[in-house]
Amino acid sequence: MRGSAVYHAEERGGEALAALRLRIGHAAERLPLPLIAFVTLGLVVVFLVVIVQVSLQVEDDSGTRYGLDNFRLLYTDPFTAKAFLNTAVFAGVALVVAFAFAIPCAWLAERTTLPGRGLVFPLLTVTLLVPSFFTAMGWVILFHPRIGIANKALMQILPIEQAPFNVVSLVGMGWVEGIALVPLAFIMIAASFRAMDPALEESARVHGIPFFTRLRRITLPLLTPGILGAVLYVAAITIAAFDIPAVIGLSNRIHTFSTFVYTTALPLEEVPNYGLIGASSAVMLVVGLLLTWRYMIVIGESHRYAVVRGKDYRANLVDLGGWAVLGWAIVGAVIVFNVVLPLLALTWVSLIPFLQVPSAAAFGTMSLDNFRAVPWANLMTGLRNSVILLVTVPTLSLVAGMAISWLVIRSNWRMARTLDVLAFLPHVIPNLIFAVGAFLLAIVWFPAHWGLFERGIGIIILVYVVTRISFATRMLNSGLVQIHEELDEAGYVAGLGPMGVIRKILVPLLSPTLLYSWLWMALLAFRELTMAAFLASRDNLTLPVIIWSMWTAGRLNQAAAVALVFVGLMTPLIVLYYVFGRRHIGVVQ
Amino acid sequence: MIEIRGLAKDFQRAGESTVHALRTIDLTVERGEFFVLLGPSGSGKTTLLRCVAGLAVPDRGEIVLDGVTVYSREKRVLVPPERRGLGMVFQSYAIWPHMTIFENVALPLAQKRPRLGKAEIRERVSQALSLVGLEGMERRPTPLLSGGQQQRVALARSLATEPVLLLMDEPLSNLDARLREEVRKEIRNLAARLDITILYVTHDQMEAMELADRIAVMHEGDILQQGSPEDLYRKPADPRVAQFFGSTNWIDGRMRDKDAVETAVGCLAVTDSGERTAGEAVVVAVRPEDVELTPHGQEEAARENRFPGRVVSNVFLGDHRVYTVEVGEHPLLVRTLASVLLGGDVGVRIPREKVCVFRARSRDELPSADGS
Repeated sequence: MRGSAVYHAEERGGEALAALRLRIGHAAERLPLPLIAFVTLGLVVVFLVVIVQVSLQVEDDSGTRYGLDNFRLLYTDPFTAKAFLNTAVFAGVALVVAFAFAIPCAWLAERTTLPGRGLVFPLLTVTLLVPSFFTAMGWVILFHPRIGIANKALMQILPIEQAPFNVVSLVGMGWVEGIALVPLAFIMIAASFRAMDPALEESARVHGIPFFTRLRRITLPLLTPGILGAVLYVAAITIAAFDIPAVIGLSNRIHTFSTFVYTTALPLEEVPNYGLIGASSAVMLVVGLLLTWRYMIVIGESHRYAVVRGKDYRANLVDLGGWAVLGWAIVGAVIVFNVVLPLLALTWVSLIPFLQVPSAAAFGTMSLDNFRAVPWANLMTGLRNSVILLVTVPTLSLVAGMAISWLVIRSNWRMARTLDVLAFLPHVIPNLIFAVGAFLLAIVWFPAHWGLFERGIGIIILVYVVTRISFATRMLNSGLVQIHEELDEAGYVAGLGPMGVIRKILVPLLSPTLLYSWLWMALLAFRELTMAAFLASRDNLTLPVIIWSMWTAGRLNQAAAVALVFVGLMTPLIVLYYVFGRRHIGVVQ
Repeated sequence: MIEIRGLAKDFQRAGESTVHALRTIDLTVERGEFFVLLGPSGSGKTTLLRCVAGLAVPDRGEIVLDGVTVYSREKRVLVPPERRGLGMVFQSYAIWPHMTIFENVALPLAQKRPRLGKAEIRERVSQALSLVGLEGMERRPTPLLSGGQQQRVALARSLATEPVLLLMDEPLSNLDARLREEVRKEIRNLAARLDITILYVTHDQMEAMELADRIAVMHEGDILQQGSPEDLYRKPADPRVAQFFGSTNWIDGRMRDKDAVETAVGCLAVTDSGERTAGEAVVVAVRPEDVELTPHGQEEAARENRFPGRVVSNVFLGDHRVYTVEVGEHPLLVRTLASVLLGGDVGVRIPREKVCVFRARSRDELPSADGS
């Protein structure tokens, strides 16, 4: 309380600042926090605004004007209409497949005596980290109608003339997408199982209602809001999915929304029609927001089903007995389809000169030639870029997330609620939309000669951070809520400033959450293909983009070889994540 | 030491009307005083304390601590808590769980400017710890400490910087009854030993009376009365204050003249009826321990403030008894050491100087006059 410790607002920044300080408490002292929050969330808004703006912008002889011409073009152009129809079929198949596996898996993990059921959750979470375009590559290698080696093998063994499976089709793509989405759907449904009061099932049991009737009349109806919510959320992801359509559909001219936008943005011959990209993205944005809106309503209604329950009350586990084998067969199938089979296929193909069924002759041609032929110099640039992303994206996301979460949870600022909603947007709007927004921003808003793309990976970092901000803030919000506010206040009274409290009290207390979130986001940044592909230029290629472009260029064997190297690089990180994150696995969404 | 002038704060609850957390508070705490803010939950006492700490920001008014304006709406001054140089003990103790006892106590010392040397910090931490009886426990991690020990660490941490003002927010509410008694004594001893001003928040009137030099009783954002514990007990300025300090007999009546009240019990002579005028409806309050029992009934009746009564119930409470005596139709609680027969006739004497007179309307403002 020395005189020097007092400061008068007027001396330090005038009337306005003083009024602000009186209104929002000491927030002015924490200026860096609102600043970081505004910049990050400002980008969220800018990326979306640019899409809307470009979609309404029309170029004609008289110059630039605003109108709905792009949207008209959208539904008069047969190619576009086809792409949207394809997307619907593709997403429909994917949803059916994903939930057909995810619901039983969640039930097995949460409601049965399946031996080792504690492993189901971590195994499927880790599965989520293997890039789904690797899964797609594996499936193409195995089940391409013409060259797929599993198809060929089956034709040799069985008396059939035609390839039994065709993965290069809408249904095939939907199947692979569905398989790749099982872990995500599983995590969401397992959470609803966990939130359900077992007493509701037990009372049915006590009253003599048999198992299948219970399942049909009690368990599933109670889970409906949870499942519906998961379906809507996964649907919003699927309609904008890029990885799998890009690997399977793009080179075979089966376009979904995402690959349609991609080819429109980066056409081989003509001048790209940015208005059309903007319009189709705006449509997808609206569809995504509608799905989210339904999702919010469903989640809101699910509280009707909430029943007071005891702490950590776990009961009513179904004894599977001998059926446990079938249980693990289902979980195993997900892992085999998602990871084991594709990686085996990639390994095999990486060792042979061209696609062929394993045979004595084929084994004779095995060598490391593919690995040697890879343009390693290019790859090292890609690796460098990917490592930069791996380090910067989670770090920046956590810094921004900390600023936003602190304002949301710890300040009484009126803007806080708005910040929270903005930070939630990237969770429900497909990443692809943000990539398109950044792309249009760099091309349309800024002069071409600035070359925002050509200047390295800055723009990719920004987009990644923006799309991760939901995850970071969800994690940090729940972490901060659990820290008693008096711990902060004791810090203030002790003489620590706001930054001091964050550094000395909150960060150490949050360190498990921070470590876990960092690793998770690092892995996602490392494996991300969609956004990097949209924003690719000569200097900012990431490893996944390089692998994918080798694949689309037809160099399947080399792509497979690099994919294996990539998986090798990821493995230690996944192990780290598993070790440090074990306590946290389960709160991914 | 603390001067609070016209302090007000509202809370805007979403979708609800404004809550006046503090209405217009004027308060002065002298140097070296042990000042207690007493009131039920929601009375604004914690908000007031947090405004003094700087953890809450008022809407209007002024706070001056040790001659330094730390908040003034008018002058647009707001000193953040970290620059107010206070000590504070929180209700949850707020011991930082990721630090040892030493680190907890040393952190406020390390923020001091000019910086203290390592050796000095170590010295002052151990001084603070011995002050609260935790000497030699520096290296202990904090999550395993008992409630009482955490409480002591919190106290040591708030005293280590030798602040001139110590704030305490219900520091005993999380301790069990026996420990509470013990720590209460220690706090009183510490306050007497150190030259420190203490602002202390509690909802427990026994705690307040034992610790305080002065008490301010708060209710719905207002200070009802401030004064020494005895003043508040003997001369409550408001029926809610009377109610807050133990049980009271409430008797409705009407002023006959300035010195007498006509009641259901009979005509009561009073010494101080305040600004009441003849004919005004009033309510009088008498403490059960101020009512005297005399052995005989009828013949006493003629004398001042003496009434005949009949004992209708009797509760033995160890060191005293509580009787319910019906005077006329009106039951009176009487607290006494004497032993009288249940059902027997007794004389009741109410000393005129012990009778408090309030406006009749003010009785309706009481939360619930159950007289217990």
